[in-house]
Amino acid sequence: MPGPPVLQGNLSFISLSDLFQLLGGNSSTGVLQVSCPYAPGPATVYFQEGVPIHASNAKTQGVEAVNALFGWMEGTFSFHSRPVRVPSTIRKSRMQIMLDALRLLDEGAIEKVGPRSRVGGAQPGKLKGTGTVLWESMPVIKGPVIDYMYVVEEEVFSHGHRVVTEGRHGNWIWIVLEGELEVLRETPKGPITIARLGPGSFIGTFMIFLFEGSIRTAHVSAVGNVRLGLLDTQRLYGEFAKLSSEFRNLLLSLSRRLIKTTDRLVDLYCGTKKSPVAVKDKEVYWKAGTTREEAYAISSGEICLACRTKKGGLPLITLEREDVFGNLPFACTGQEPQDASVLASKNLELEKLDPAKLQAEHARLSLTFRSLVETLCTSISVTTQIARHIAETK
Amino acid sequence: MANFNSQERTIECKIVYYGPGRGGKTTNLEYIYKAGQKYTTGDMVSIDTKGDRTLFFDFLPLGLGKVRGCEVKMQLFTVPGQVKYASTRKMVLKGVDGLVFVADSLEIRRKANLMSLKDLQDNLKEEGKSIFKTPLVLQYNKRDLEGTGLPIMPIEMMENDLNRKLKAPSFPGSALNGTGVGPALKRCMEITLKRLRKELEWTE
Repeated sequence: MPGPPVLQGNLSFISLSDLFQLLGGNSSTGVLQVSCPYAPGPATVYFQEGVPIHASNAKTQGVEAVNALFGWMEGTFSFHSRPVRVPSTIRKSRMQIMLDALRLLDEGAIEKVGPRSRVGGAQPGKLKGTGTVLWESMPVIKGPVIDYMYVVEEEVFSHGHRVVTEGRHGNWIWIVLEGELEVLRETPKGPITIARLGPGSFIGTFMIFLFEGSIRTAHVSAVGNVRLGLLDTQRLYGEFAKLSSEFRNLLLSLSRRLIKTTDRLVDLYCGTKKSPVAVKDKEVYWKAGTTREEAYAISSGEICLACRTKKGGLPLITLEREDVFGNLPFACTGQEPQDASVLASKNLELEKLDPAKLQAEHARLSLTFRSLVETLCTSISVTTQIARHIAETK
Repeated sequence: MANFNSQERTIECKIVYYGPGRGGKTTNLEYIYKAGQKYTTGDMVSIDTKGDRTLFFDFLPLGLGKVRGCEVKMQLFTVPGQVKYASTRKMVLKGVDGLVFVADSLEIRRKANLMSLKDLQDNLKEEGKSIFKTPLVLQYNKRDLEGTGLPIMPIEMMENDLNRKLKAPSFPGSALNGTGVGPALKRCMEITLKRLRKELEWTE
């Protein structure tokens, strides 16, 4: 799309109906792009004098494509003001589109796509996984379509086949091209399902770039038949090596964060204390919901993240030296700054990072790398939600 | 909160018809649309929500004059009553400027009226609004059934049930033949504009 957008933002702040009314009220002409991390690809809506005249998303066109968007509970949008030259496929007034779509949503005819509790539940699959499901409404993590340049080989696995085994060494990353997989963790109470992976999501994290990081921390099994794309590790490593050291640290810290959050989840589920989080002697540094736009790397001391549940505060994980935390809009983990507080130890020393610089570097990443970050952050968010759910229901 | 459209120089207010299912909300709006055709701009949008249809259209009340040189445009809505239409209700009630509560005069609907009014109060609360501070008029609908043998509540009883605390302007009416529809809407628009003027500290 040529030129910068004239309007952009987040759907969790401005809902799609508000956005439609805003563009309608201004009689805007141009192209609206909406992306949702849980939908297969971005969608486009064309406005002529404030009225949507055409739309397309992954599979559908016209009204159907617009309707589906009303089920996107989270995501981002950008509007480019420019003359629109597309055949008109929608012949309804703006208000009619909105009221009709919301009716379909309320009647359950439009699928809600989103993370956590905002989605009514995962689609009922025909086949079942093998792990204990801790949270019925666990969403399937999806990503955008893949850049095939990174895929060196396609592999097909049948139902129940284990792609990755916990505790084994391995430094491959796969992208899911078709089908669904479950991510399992062994626990004293038997294997539990900690995530569901759908098309566009990845198996493996940035930990494979570390020498000591090549030990797999979970099983991954096919649920039904799946087609995976094996990614070119050399190519990925080449891109990783070119990043600034701050950004590399951020990616590794996020990968560790996922493992720590999962460890914590296992502790909560089994009632064990293998990875305790010490809240004592720590003071609140950031309250959940803070609007501070800062990011830090920890030079010494430690912080602990804690979220609020219906049954009181829940300590989540401890972050130490070299870990990164802060308000980074592209790395939305469902933890700080919105949904978790930061508690700091007395000896905490921080190195201030520049969020704008990190954001700019993120924008320059290849599509595959960006999607990897997205899958990672979504996985952290989902794991955090399961942990919360367990803490609330136990 | 009304929308100010600087391009068209109009002020858009949102007026919502609320009330128990099958109480006459849509009949009210249909009558207004038909009778006031010269004031309406564009088509009436009708959505087939179960129980009650959801209606919407724009209305230009010429009689009320301009506010600060701006034309005032009213957006009239009905709300689907059924619980499951939460997203629709939320969108319709968001930023509402004025309300017409259409109560059913049939005696067997007494409880439904009360529940719907309570529901309205809760829904407004969710939007951060108080029912006591939002411009509201009541319409006691279906008065045409008086004398047909069907048990109808006397106006005093309905006033006591619904308007004891609200003390809102109230009108007997029959949406079917149009009695009391115009006065209720007109009054609602008047108090809505009065409130807007006060809120925005407009002085004429």
